[in-house]
Amino acid sequence: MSAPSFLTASRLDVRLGERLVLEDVSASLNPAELITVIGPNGAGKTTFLRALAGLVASTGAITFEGADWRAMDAVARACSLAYLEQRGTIAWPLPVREIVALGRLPFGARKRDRDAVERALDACGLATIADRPATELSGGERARILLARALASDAKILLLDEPVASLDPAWQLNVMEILKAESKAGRCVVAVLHDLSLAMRYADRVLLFASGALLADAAPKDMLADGRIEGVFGVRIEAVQTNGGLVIGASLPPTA
Amino acid sequence: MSGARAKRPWSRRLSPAALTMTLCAALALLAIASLLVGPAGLSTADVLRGFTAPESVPGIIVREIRLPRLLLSLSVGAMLGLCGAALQGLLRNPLAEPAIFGAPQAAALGAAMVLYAGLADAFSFALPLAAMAGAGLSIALVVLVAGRGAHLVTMILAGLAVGTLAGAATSLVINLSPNPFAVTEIVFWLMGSFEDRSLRHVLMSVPFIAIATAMLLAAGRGYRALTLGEDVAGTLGVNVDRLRLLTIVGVSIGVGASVAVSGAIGFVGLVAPHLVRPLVGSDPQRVLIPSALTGALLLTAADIGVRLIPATSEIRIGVLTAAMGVPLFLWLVATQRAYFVGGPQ
Repeated sequence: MSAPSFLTASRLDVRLGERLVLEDVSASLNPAELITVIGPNGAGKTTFLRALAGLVASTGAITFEGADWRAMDAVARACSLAYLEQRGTIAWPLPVREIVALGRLPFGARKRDRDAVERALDACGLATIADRPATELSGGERARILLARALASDAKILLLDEPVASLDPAWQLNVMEILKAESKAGRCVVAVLHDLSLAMRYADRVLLFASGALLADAAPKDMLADGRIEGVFGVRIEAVQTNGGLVIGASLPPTA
Repeated sequence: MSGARAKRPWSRRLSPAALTMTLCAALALLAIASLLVGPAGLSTADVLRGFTAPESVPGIIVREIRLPRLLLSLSVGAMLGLCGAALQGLLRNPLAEPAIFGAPQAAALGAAMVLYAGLADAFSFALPLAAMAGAGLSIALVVLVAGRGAHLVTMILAGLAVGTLAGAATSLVINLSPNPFAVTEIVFWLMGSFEDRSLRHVLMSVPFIAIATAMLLAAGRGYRALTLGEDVAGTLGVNVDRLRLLTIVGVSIGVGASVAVSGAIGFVGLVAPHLVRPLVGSDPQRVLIPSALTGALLLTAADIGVRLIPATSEIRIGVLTAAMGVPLFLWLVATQRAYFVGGPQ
């Protein structure tokens, strides 16, 4: 018996104008799984996340727990999925806590809302600055605020577009630990990452995109073994196991 | 955790409920003042007698002149304040207001055409309907030209063009007007005033203002979600397309109904939300009702002001609001340039 399908995309195509930016992508995403999405710039990683979030029109099937995902009510979908935008913005100088509380907008139980917001603030190291205006903080702090906003949701699916992009090394590791813990707690966490070391070290499964297609869908070890990453990125890859975990060194190939 | 919670910035400020009550109390005082001020020089006792004896001379002055004037300044002011706050919420930008869509100018054109054709007396709803159509057309045109989700600069440029075109077309209507009385009527009306308005004008505008108010208040939650951008708002369960349509239609109805009875009154929509943000914070939903009340407060105060300023003929309220609003707008442009160059960061 196969596991009951959770979030499944099959034969997903996304067209922006004349250009086919995502072509024939099929993937199933499972609960209690941390999936990292890697690929060169313009490979279709963000488009894949946006298609799953319903932000860009796509063809092909998307099902969630057996039902047609696109036909679901918008609020029901919002309760099931939290999306972190790449380089998200905050328009108004609201206190950090109120920005994080926006993650609770689709829900409605006040006590539970408050607890979830405080937990997310604590997890992302924001408790001491929870009352400061979010727009006055640094880029890294704002990135953590937006991540906390997504974490504050009860959604079973977290789609995170470059959640560690503007963070210092300590916070990159902290955030990956948070994501790992969230997946262990039963959530399906999908994160687009550019740091191959983090992507390989923490993931249960890695999706490799190139030119709008899903080239490989494998466990990190198998992904490293098959050598496709080198071809896709055009770099030489060296994987070293250190005390701190797996480290991927990338270098440009020697020019002729 | 509870210690940190007690330090919420807005708990040090007024709570929204306290601010609403304070504004309502201030409005009540201004409303009384508005009924007491006027060239007829009625005493407080006269005004009170006017309510109990409607056929007396004070009764006629209060019922036919001062009460309509008060009701219109309250409802139009509230509408303009709310429209400004709603557009700022939708566009995520504190410089937005109906005038950037050319809406008041286009509403004025619609109304001027009705005045030119002499339809205003034949059919009392012709004026508000034409003004609403003008406002709606201008906003639709700006959105169409600038494209969906356009940057504010594109919107301002498109709004400038549409507003200028509407202004030129209004000049053409005046230009072609065969009747000097119609010209005077249009020109004075364009300057904005609550002088010589009757309860008929109140009945003509207030139902539409009520509809527009309900629409824009219903959109508040969506504006709050838009703090994080259209995409994130979409994943929070907000239908952004419907929110945009609700706002555009609401603002068109509200601005049209307001301009139809008051003429062109600028800057209230821009100023009111700015005055309340330091008091209630920047949450675009929480700003809505206080902005409406502040708009009502500003316009009622301005309407008392024009009656008190000594001049050979009454200063037009649109002139006064522009004189107060333009310096503030320039100050905002100077201090918040970031919103022009890169959008909110």
